[in-house]
Amino acid sequence: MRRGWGLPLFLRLRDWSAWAVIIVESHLLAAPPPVKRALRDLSRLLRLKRWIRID
Amino acid sequence: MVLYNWRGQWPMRRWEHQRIFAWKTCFPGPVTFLNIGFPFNPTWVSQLDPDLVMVDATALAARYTPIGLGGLRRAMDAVPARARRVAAPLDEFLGLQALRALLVETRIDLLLTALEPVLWDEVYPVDQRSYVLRRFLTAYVDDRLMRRSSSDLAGRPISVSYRAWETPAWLGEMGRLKREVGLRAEAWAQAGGHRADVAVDGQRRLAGEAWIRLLGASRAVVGVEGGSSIVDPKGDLLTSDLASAGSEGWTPPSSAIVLPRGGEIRAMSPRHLEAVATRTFQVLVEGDYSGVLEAGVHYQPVRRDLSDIDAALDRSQDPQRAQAMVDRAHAEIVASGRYSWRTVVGDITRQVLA
Repeated sequence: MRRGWGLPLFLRLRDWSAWAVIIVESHLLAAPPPVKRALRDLSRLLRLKRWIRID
Repeated sequence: MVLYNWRGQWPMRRWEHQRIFAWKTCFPGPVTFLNIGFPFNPTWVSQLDPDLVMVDATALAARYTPIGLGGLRRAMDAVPARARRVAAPLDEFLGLQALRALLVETRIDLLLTALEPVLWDEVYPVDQRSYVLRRFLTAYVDDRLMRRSSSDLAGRPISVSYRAWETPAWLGEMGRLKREVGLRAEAWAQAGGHRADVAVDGQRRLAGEAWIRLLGASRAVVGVEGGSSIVDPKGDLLTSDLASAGSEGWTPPSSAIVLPRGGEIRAMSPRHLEAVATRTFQVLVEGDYSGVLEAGVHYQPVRRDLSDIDAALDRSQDPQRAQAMVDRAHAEIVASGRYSWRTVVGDITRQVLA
């Protein structure tokens, strides 16, 4: 096994970031339908704003 | 390197977390984890050049979807040829043909299975396997659980506790018993004026340390072996409507094999080891419990028709007898270190890297 530190450190940071996403995902999945709908609308709005370059 | 696959569920059940991450503390060398549920570059795997790749049950469960299967294949294709490969499936009764093919395709060296050895040649035919098999429990005891101190049974506030998830019909009698044993324990507590903390059908789920705290506050816990009454070689069960699979009168797909009563796939569940570690009196439906728990010595057995469950639960009210049984189980199973992650990871490492 290679003894370099760069790739293992990157993979460790990636793993921690993935766990942060997992925690957010689990809360979103457990959220009541109106909250989910609002968040979905919000994500669409942000994408739209980026698309028309107003942000 | 440990390959696993996890998305969208937090907190994890304690034993699942330990199964993946115990390697970090118990493996004699640096360990890197790769969650293949998120986008990854296969060159990371080849550049890391691991000596050993452990494919966790969650990564093998990626075979259920084409995207997941593709991700697992990409990761395993990038594993250097010299690396030893170990796989540990937990759900062999689902999508068995795909699993068998995957194990050969990814050149697995050692397969860790919770199946009883008498079933090995039937589930993994000798002429189709290029790997060695080794018995593996669904969970082991981690350092923290081993060091945990427990109060005496007499001082615990809850008489009996239990949790069961929604048990689909395709689990057969094994699933029915999981639910029934909880309901019977609750009825026993109500009749005797005892305090119970029982929930079935997936209600009031507990994960992480919350479950261990409940066990530690309970004098007794009921239970049954984990397993299934159906083997689904082609994976049709997973593509069929699982919602209807939970209803009465449901019939399995024609490709599924319904195992005869008494011939089901059975194994000790992680919760049984956790109960030993918390010194909780176990009232369990009689069984082999992967050869770890011995009836009458480590747990109070109950007949499969549950006809004697009330008498068995009454025995948990005898503090001296119950305490002697849980202390003995703790000494032989937990304190001995025989079923610890440290021991099993060391044994596996010696076997594959020798």
